[in-house]
Amino acid sequence: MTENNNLLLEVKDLRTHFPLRLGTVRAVDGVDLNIRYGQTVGVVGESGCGKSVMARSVMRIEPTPGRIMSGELLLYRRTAEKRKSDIAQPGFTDIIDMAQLDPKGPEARGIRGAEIAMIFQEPMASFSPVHTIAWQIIEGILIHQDVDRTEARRIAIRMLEQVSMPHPERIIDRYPHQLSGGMRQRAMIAMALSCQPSLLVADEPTTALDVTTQAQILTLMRELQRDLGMAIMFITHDLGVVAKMTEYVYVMYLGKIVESASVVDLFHDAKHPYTEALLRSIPQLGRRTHQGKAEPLAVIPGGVPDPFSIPSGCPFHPRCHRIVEGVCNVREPTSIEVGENHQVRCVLYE
Amino acid sequence: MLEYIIRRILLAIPTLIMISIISFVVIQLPPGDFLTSYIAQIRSEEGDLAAEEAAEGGRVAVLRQRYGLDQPLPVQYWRWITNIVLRGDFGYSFEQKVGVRTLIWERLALTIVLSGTTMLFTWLVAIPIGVLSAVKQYSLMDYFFTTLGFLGLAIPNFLLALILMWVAFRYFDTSITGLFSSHYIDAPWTWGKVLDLMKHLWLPVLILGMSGSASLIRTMRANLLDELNKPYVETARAKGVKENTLIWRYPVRVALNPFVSTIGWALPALVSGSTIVSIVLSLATTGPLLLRALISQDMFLAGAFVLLLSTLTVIGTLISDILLVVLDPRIAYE
Repeated sequence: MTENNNLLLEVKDLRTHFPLRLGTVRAVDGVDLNIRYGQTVGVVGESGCGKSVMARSVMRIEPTPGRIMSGELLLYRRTAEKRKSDIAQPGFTDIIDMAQLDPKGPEARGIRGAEIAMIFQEPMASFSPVHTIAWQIIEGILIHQDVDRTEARRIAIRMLEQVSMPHPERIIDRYPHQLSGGMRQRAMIAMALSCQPSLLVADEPTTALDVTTQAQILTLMRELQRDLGMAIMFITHDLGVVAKMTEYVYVMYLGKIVESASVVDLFHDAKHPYTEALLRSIPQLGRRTHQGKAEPLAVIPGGVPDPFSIPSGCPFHPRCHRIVEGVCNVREPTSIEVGENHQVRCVLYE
Repeated sequence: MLEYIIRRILLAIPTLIMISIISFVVIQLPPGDFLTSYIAQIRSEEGDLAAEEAAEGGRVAVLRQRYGLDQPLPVQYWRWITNIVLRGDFGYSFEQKVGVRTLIWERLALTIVLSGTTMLFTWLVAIPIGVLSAVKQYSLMDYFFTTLGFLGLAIPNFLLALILMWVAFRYFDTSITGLFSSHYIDAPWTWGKVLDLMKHLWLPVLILGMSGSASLIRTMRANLLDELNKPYVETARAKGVKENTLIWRYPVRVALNPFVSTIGWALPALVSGSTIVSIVLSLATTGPLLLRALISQDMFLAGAFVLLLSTLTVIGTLISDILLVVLDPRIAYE
């Protein structure tokens, strides 16, 4: 990425590994990724490609026994006043490498929930079943903001209003199981945004919702992004969501970024065979072959390889339809700049 | 909420009536009654003639009439239960020749002190260890307490009591039995006696609490391991909550709920539990008394116990149900 000003998060060669009895799982294996202030970035990939572990590593809540082996997670922090007053203002107060912090230490905790917040896939399971919504939102506010309980409650209700929760003063004292799926996810978003984070990490926030609710939540997130100006890292396997929500997209396969491009370039000019295959496997109404017959939905052959025995060379080569024998299965490709802000990791472009 | 509690209490009443009937029938079930064995005892001690005489008139007949033992069962039951409910009179212990009430209360108080302390000890020891074991799963500490836990589960309490008694006697030349020093046993209650009780209490508590703690540690560890990987824990972590606060506030809180439902059984166990250990350590608790009453068919004494235990179970279940509703909002009480 050439535009380096206004950077919020710079992930450099991040590696998060899981030392297990059967071997080491390299869930995230050398990811580079940039997010600017106010930018919406998508991370796409199949289940098991490491996108969720990557997102959690950014928060420093990588699940045990996962560990960041190497890499940098540079957070370009602005003071709270600067963050609020002018999002576009260049410059920053300090850079902190999240990867160097103790995940449970005070610095990392001070950033989590305040500067980087996260929303999760399962809005039901992601709330404690035995605490009220109020309790859970207010907890975060009290940790990060210097306010008393009454004020925190006021902030919580205001946030619930902002996410278009019906009757926020009443809903706030309910328990999660008394809310519908969509309302829970709204509450989750309200909780995440209650401390005005610069970055919202959204890990498949709509996957567990029905289609109508999905659309409502996505629209809500777009509006909130416009109003509050935070950056969003959108983790998803749904290319439709990517097209609707994001400006820039990273395609992840087996712990590596295989292609990154602006959303327009990605949909119109995908380079990597994996991206091409992903795009072809989106069902489209009325898609016909040249003979005018309904075309069967394209699938990517095979499945994500066993994490303990990742193929040599390019990890995608066993499933690739453009494989170059003797090259792809031997040598790991490097990342190549193929256009403005468009990188691809494939031997075909070297 | 209040309505739920009232409804539950009202529902407990027919249950208790049923229980009292069943208790009475159960203690009447074995052939013969105490008087039969009483006559047998006279026969062996004073000869056939005295036994005949006792059976015909005299002592036995007086007793039989006084307690209505010659009446049909429903009449006997009615007399028994109305005496208990209206006058708090649980009847007469034929064997010990005193009212059941005087016999039970002091032992009951001691038992509750002993069992209550044991329960408190168990929870205070087991819950933190269980939590630690789960949070640091497969650590050296976890393995240590797992080993200790299985040992605690495997060693019968009475065996531990015997071993400790022997060790105390052999190497320290002291006796560790009883709840009081000898000169306090029949003394009236004074601060000195309370202090003396405290001095004696810790050892039975340790022995009785061992297997309880061991199994509680295992259960707590397993329950918490189930909760630790739930998404809500991750959410709390993502909010920036301190790790220790987070563990106790969320997963432990949820993992504790199943324990609340065990209060229903904990209450009667307070009274009848630890019988064997009490016999071995000669503790003046209710367990040995209940056992003796059952063996000698001392019907009113045994009946009082059976009724007491059943009532405690009902009350315990009631308390668990109410607590569960308070603690876990997902349980609907409509």
